[in-house]
Amino acid sequence: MSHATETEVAEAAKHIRSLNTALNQVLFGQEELVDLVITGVLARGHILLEGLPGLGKTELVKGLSRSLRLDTKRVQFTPDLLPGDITGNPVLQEVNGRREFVFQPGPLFTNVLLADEINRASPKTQSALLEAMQERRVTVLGQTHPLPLPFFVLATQNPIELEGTYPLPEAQLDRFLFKLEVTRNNVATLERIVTHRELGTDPQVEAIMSAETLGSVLDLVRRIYLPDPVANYIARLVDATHPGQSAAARGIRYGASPRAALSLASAAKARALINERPHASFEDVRYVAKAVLRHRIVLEYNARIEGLTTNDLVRAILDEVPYQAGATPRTLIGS
Amino acid sequence: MGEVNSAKKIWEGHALAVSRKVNFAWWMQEFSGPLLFCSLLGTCILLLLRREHPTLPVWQFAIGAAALVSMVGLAAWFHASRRFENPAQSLVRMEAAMSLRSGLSAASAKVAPWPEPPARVHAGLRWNWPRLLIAPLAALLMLIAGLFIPMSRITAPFAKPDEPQAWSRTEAELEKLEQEKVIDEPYIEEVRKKIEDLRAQDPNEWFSHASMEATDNMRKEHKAEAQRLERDMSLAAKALGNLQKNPDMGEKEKARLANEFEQALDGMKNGAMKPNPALLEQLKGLDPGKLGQLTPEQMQQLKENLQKQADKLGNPQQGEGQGGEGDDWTDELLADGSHPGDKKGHGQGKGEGGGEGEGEDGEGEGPGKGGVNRGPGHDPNLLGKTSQELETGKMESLKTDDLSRALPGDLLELQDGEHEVDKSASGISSGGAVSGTGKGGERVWKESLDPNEQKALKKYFK
Repeated sequence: MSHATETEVAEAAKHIRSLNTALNQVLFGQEELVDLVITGVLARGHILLEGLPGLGKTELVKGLSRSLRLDTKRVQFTPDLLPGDITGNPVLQEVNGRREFVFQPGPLFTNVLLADEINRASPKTQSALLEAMQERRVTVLGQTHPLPLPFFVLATQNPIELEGTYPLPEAQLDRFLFKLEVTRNNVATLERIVTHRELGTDPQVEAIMSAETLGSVLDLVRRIYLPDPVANYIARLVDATHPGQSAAARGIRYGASPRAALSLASAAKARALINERPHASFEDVRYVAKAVLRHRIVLEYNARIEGLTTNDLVRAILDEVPYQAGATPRTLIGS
Repeated sequence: MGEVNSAKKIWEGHALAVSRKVNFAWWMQEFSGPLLFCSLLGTCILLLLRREHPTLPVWQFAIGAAALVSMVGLAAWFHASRRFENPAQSLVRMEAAMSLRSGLSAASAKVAPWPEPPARVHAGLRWNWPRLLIAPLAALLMLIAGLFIPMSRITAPFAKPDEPQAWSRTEAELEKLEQEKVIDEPYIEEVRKKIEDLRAQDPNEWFSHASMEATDNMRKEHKAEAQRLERDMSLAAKALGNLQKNPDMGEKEKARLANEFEQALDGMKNGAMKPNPALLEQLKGLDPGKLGQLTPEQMQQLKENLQKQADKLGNPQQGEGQGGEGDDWTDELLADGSHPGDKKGHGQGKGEGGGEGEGEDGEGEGPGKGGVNRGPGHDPNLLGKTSQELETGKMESLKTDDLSRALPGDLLELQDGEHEVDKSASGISSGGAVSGTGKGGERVWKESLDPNEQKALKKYFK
């Protein structure tokens, strides 16, 4: 597989910039969030959006699917939702004069699945998503059904009203490329929203790229060059999340998995493409590290008592691990 | 194409320089500790060598020090080389420090063109001067100090000190006694062994407190033994002399003299220092109760023999003219300068310089004036005239400076006498009445102590 060329990268970057502009018209004042959502999509990852109600999470997902002309389905997760409700069920039908079970695909069979308030579904239903998210296929009654490509899960969860919810298990969380925190808007943004939006009216979003274009852009991301020093940096970062491997990891009980390293590499490549570079860099890794790692590490009890968050620890790890692999002698001072 | 190659060369040149800088820094880090330690060690060795070999030129030592430093440096290089980085790794340092977004790594992988080198290329590294310089400078200063600090030449080892004179003097006395066969051989061997044991110590310990005390004890014991034997012999001779002088004395007096002779004989036989075997055999052959039956010639010969041996014991150094009185180490010190005594020997000739030692003043005409390191001696007549040896019954006229109180015919006579002893009988009379309880300790014994206490005391003093 040849590496991406600067020309290809420049061409793809045009589409990405357009997409970015379009999504920023949907969600005001959340440029970084939009940037990371596009990065996640380009990295073929699933995204978990966490934030208070009414911040525009669902609008963002809907705007993304419209601008990419992708099939989108929305499932409101509730405690009584069953796995078959999202994967699909075999239904007894008469086919050619014979009665047989025919699989009726569920809402999973789409390009973009908006799983709203995913933590309200029972663990049984949540786990039904595992195979779909990781392997992009569904197995029902022994029959495996591939999902349409591209396939993204953009799930939302509410950090409040936790009664009657089922926190996502670590294995499920690990399937999400990013966990993005949707923060509240400032006054200027709110004023802009009030000025440009009507309650109950969806914002107009124009289609930016076709499925084929998206497919070629996604392929191009895979061809972005990941220099060895950057790969080494990713490996050292992930290793540093494990207890005993860095000073910052003292507050961590369980570190990130190898899947986190793959996610970092993939996200860094996507980020390089967004920045019109045919190669990933340390800065790209650093930019996406928090979104990739924050939901993949488990804090020690003491750290939680001290009020530390995973964001704090990831930041400390990023400060601790240098870009270059070799240490610096004490007879030199690094600036 | 030429510009691309040029940029590549520039970046690679910078990377090479950075890698050299980093590697040198690693080497210095590894080198500093051992350098400091070896310099300290080397400085000590240099000082010792310069002390031992003051004639060798400094440049030879300097070459040695340089060789030591070189070896340490080489070892540090091998040790540090594990952490050396190559130019490719230095490129990563540079692109990280200059925020080139991995442009150099991509360019070296031929994925992207070499970026245009900016005016200032750096790797974000600067020297940590204190860490870099303190150890080498300290090492240099130490080695310079080791090379140029003035050193005193090593002095010859201390000569073996003269042994205490008490040993040689005792040995001389023993030799004299051995030659004249005055005393028994085992005693001489025993004392000689003691002296050899003392001499076998480290010479530095010869004059230690313990050694001097042991010497003193040995001398005192030897002196006491000699005096005891001399006294016993004199007593025996005196008893014989009295028997010889007064052959007509009463039986009681004879028995007393025989008893004295027997006691003196027992003392001679039982002491550590015994008379020579021939004399001892001769004395053992005598029956103290039949001393009166000896002929006057036999008695005279025996008395003279005993007196002669006693005289030899009383003055073992006689005949050599060497300070008979100075038998103590303190006397040696006093004698070392100007001893005014009436004997020659010690005190001779050490009156150096202005000492006016007058050590050879055998005349004993007054106190010496002392030497440089000695005070004056004492007047031999300081404590009065030396007494004459008196014998029982010998008459001697008394002298006095106060003639008004002198009586004509004032004489001094020694007589044998005995203490007043209560010889009244003591004991328990019939009926439990005490007829005589004795006096003093005997009375206490009988009246105050019960049988158990008496038994305990008898056991204790047994």
